[in-house]
Amino acid sequence: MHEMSIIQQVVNSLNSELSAEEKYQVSNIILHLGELSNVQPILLENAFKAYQEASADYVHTRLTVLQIPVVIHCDQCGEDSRVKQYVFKCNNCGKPSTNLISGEELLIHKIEFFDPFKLQ
Amino acid sequence: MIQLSQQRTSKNKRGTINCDNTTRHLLQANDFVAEAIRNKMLQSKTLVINIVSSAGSGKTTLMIETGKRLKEKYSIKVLVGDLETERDADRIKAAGVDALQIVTGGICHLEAQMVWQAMETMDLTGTDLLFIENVGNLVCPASFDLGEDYRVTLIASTEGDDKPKKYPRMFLTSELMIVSKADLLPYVPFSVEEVTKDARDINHELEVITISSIKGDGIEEWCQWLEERIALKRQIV
Repeated sequence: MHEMSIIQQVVNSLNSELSAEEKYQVSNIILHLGELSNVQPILLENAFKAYQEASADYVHTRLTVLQIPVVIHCDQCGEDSRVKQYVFKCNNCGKPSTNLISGEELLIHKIEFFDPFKLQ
Repeated sequence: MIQLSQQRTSKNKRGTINCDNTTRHLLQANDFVAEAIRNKMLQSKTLVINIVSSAGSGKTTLMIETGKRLKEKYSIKVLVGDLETERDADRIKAAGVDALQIVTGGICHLEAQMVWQAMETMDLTGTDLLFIENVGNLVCPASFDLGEDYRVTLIASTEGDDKPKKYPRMFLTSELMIVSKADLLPYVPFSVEEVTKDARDINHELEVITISSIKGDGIEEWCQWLEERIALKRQIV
């Protein structure tokens, strides 16, 4: 879905925080994408490449997408379970749960910068 | 919130800025507006229902049938999202229910900002029930909170009963699943039991109502579901 607008959102977020000089130093943008976020990492990476070509902005920056598994918390026994095959049940006691701990992320997790002393 | 300025130790940043408060939720602008809508609708005690489904599952027909039955008793408004045309709003208005079309111009889902803008155009004073008929799509609308009280997913018998496992987030985030076009069940390979089981594997609290908008089956139950929630919303102080 709407990968291009997500990339635009990432860029807008960074632009609102960084000066033009700082923008140039961003080496890596690390995103966290939950498995339920309905966003495909490969499409997002392609969208970022398209953005770089079209805008000539962030051209030296990498985009790293980390997929975050769906994990639920069980209110009955307190266990956390990884959801498999979209069955939202506790792996320990079998109680159904929709109490999501992770899996819906659509986050800029981290940005990394080039070492200014090594740059150029 | 990104709080880079507080992390900054020198003008030139080096290495990794690695800290939880650097994470930023990419949909936070949407969620902010959704919360504003929720607050506004709490003040006016308007029940807001976000209706989602694939294209062609019968959302608009259900809006019309619901409007016909409840419009004398309640003030009902419908916001309807589509990529192009005002056809759906025209159909709903022809049934005597006030509707406003949101033309997204190619965007595959409604965002809270679009709803907010539409709400500024439409006078919602005294409205008991606001339906937001989303763009026909089981993927993207799942991610966008519109400030609704309840999310209702329609799944038509003609779509096939494999949808919950294919589009889990929509069913995870819905309170009610309506199986529509039930009058066609004898003719299509669709099992209400199977679809209910799959959907409840994902969301064990999901309620299920089977309807036929054309024949009228189940509409009574659906209207009752709505009326209970309109009453609940009115009680909130």
